[in-house]
Formats: sequence, structure tokens, C-alpha cells
Amino acid sequence: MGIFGLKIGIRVRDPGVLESLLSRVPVGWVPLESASVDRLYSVVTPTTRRANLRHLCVLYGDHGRLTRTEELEDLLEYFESDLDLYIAANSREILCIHAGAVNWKGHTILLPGRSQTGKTTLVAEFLKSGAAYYSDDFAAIDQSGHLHSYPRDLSVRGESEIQRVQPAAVSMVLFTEYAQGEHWNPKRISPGQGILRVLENTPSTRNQPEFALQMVGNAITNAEVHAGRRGEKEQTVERVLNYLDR
Amino acid sequence: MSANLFTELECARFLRKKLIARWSGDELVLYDQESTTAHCLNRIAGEMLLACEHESSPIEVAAALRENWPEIEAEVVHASLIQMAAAGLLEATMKEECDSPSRREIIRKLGITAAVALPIVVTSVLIPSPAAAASCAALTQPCSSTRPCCQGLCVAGLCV
Repeated sequence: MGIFGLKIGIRVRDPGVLESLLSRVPVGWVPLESASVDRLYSVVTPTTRRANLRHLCVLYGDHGRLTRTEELEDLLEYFESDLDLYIAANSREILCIHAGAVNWKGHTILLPGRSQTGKTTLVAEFLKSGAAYYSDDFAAIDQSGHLHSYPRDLSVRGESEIQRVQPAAVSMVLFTEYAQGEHWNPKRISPGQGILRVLENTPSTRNQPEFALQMVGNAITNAEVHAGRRGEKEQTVERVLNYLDR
Repeated sequence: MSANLFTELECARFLRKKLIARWSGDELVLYDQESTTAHCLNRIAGEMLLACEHESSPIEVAAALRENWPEIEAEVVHASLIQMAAAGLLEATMKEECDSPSRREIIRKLGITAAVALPIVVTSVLIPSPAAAASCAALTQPCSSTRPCCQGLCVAGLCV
């Protein structure tokens, strides 16, 4: 298949698994006929069941074993995560930033951050306040610097009711993580410092630094960039939205 | 300026490393593929760095900058170049004929005393590997070196 300029191959022992795998591929992939691929996934699932034996599903990425598990669902999770990361690190059609992103009355807010920094929590609170959804994990930037939702099939996660918004330029970047007892009182930082910190959360920076630097620069040059620790999500979101409504 | 100091400013040579660079307004953002480090410099530091295209002396760099900063002194430029060399942005060398321990000592002292005189700003961050810049696996989920656990340990391919 072709996805974001990359050729991905999937090989399965049981054709019944293919549909489940394809449901985890970002929306927009196209079938390709090609003798070579950039990355090949192979899934080996048990064909027969025998008593007193563990029946393992195995996922390979190229020549390496990625995971071995009794639950197909776990394998699918791993496949999705590995494919997302491969696309994020290697695509030259889009730039993926590890970030939450929402839209409030035409203002597009990007929340870059590593895992466990509270991105999903903050995004959920923004949505509760009426913001529209772009991303809670990977945000995608196109060649013109516009932010897109990561093209995930949300129905797979039971989130099909989430409304996505149209691609838009980033107007605000917030670097924050939760700290008990803190109050949201961020400092504005320069666009250059902002680019540096977004690059830290961009999986393709090491593989394609020129591309990443150009794309991040295009995306946030005109955005306000703020950084600071935050306390409770409700107070933080309220302050951010008040600031944007001023 | 003493004759000794003038000689030192003539002898020191600075060459910028091979870096990927992009201006963003008044700042220069750089990426060093060798050290996987990104840097951000303010305008004056950025122009100073770009002036070190060939092995340039502080006097030559100061001359190149005088178009925009007429008051700039070679001693202050020298101190700033030493600071940028310490951040890994420049390679500092010196003419062989004037290389001596005493000269190095003079440059070291000059660097320390003059570094406060010029408002150069250098910020650096180490860029993590793609896997580290992405999601981690939750407890009981499969994990590996490319997909670390958010918490706990990765034991036999599972986060526990």
C-alpha cells in the first residue's frame, strides 16, 4: 500500500487478520503494485489450536520480531503504534508532531509533549469546553504549514462522534506539563525557541532534519508560543480560552 | 589594544561546523547531525556564526559584522566565538606559528572576562530518537526498545 509517500507491505498467514490490520492504518492509504517496499510487516497467527499449548501471534517489522502475544488485539495495537512511528519518522509528505491539537473559535492550539505529560487530559478538557478536535497524539502538518487531524479511523476506537475540523494554520503553541500546586502562568517564548522545542517532539528530526526544520518553521513562525507548568486542567483551559477570547 | 592581544586576535581561527540552518525572524535555528543537537541563536550570534565560513579570525569576523553593528569590537567577538565553540557550533583552531600555552591562557582569560560584554544567546536541545519522541506502551501492553513502557519495566516484551 502507499501512504504519505511511503510503500508499506503487509503479509499475513491468515487472510482474516488483514481487515483488522488495515483498520489500524491511517485513512487515505491506496493499494500499490510494487516489487519493493520501504517497510514490510508480517503477521503470523496460529492456524490450529492444541490443548496445553500457548498460541502466539507474532508481528515482524522487516526482519525483526516486534512482538509476540496471545492476544491479537495487543498485536494490532503494536502494529498501529509502530506504523504511526515509521510514518512519523520517514514521511516527506507530512510532518508528524507528537502533540495534542484543538481548535477554539478559529484559533488552532498545538500542545506538543512526550507521553505522560497530560496531552490527552488537556485535549479532553478543551473538547469539554467546546473546542474542536485535531489530535491527542500525533498532529500532522502539510507542506503549506497547515495543521491536520491525524487521519485515524476513529470508529475503531469508538470515538466516531468526535468532530474533526478543517486544516488551519497554527495560531498558538503551548508547552506545558502538570505539576501539583502550580498555576498556569506561562511565559511567552520566541518563535526560534518554540521551533527548538517542537523539534524535540518531532520523530523525523533525526532522520530528516532539513525537512523537519523547514516544516516546523513554516508551521509556527506566525504562532504565539508559551511555556510553563500547569496546575489543574480546568483552570488551565479556562485561562487559555479567556486569553484567546480577549 | 596591546600588541600581544592584537596578535592573539590575529592568530585565533574559527570555522563553523557543517550545520543545517534556518532563519526564523531574528533567530537562527541550527541542527547538528553529528551531535543530534538543535540550537537557537539570536541575530548577532547567528550572523557571527555565518561569518565563520572559512577559518576566520575574530578581526575578520568583526569587520564583516561592522556593516550592521558599527561599534563591535574584535575582542568581544572573540569572546563570543569562544562561547559558541564551547557550545559545539564552531571549531576553534589557531595559526601554528603562534600556538603556545601562554597564548592559549590569554585567550581563555579573554573569553572569561569579555563573555559578559556581548548579548549573544545560545540555546541548545538534544533531539531524542524517533521512538523517544513518540508514544510509549501502557502497563500490560507489548513493549520493546522502539516502544518503551510509559511506566514500569519491559519484561519479556510486556510492560509490567
